[in-house]
Amino acid sequence: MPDIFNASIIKPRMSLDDTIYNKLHKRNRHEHEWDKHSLSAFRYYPEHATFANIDPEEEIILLLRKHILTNVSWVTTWVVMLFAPVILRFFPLLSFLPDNFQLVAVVLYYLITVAYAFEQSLSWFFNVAIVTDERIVDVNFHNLIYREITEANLDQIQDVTVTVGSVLRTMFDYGNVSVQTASEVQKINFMAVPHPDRVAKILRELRVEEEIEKIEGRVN
Amino acid sequence: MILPVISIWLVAKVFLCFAIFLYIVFAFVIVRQVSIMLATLELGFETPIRILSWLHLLFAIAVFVLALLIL
Repeated sequence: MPDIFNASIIKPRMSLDDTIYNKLHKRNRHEHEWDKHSLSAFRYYPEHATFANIDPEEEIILLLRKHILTNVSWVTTWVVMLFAPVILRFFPLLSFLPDNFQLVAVVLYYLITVAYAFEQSLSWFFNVAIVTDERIVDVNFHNLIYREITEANLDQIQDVTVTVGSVLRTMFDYGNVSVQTASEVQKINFMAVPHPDRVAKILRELRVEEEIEKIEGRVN
Repeated sequence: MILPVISIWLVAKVFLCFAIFLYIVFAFVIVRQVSIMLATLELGFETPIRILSWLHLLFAIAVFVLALLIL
């Protein structure tokens, strides 16, 4: 007997794991081997990186710090500081001091020089921006005792602006990424980060992914 | 005439030692800062950074001792 009515088979909805965005992330996850280095300024899915207050199921997607070229100014100053006593040998400013005072003064000077380089390196290494699958976190250590940690959930991101403003930045592909948020801190700035367009693209994908999660009712 | 000359260098020694003592305090603050940074973020290089900060402090103390001995 022929069927009078056949109900159409509804295909199961694509699960979140199979969304195009996750596929994209999985494909790009190991795109650049050099990004894995701990000193890299652009680390995509960084291994062995974590921060305080991270949720157990939260995953870091991007770890950004200032482009390595932003260190050129202080490294130049440091090199000048290193060789200043050699140059000043021709202009003996400390000659009025006894030898023992001169020795201590020079050792103290080099101690300060080393501390300067150490402080600048620490500042570059630890001032980072982190993008996870749930939020963005901006960690700033302004000086020896002042630190500022700003964060906003991905669904609070309203606008992402990329600014690449000089010849050097255009040549080496780094710039600022400003994230306008609906949280208490209205703007989070990622300063002089490498590949700003790629950062903006990843943020856009994550926002879309977050919206899909909301629609599917899978928000954590 | 010799006494005032000795006094000048003694004062200079006290000032220099005090400056190095302040530097030791600064070096100690760096050690604390590094601990806080490492507690906030783990990005690799934890051990070398910690060792460098302690070496810096120890070297500052060594310079203080050197100043006390040779000045």
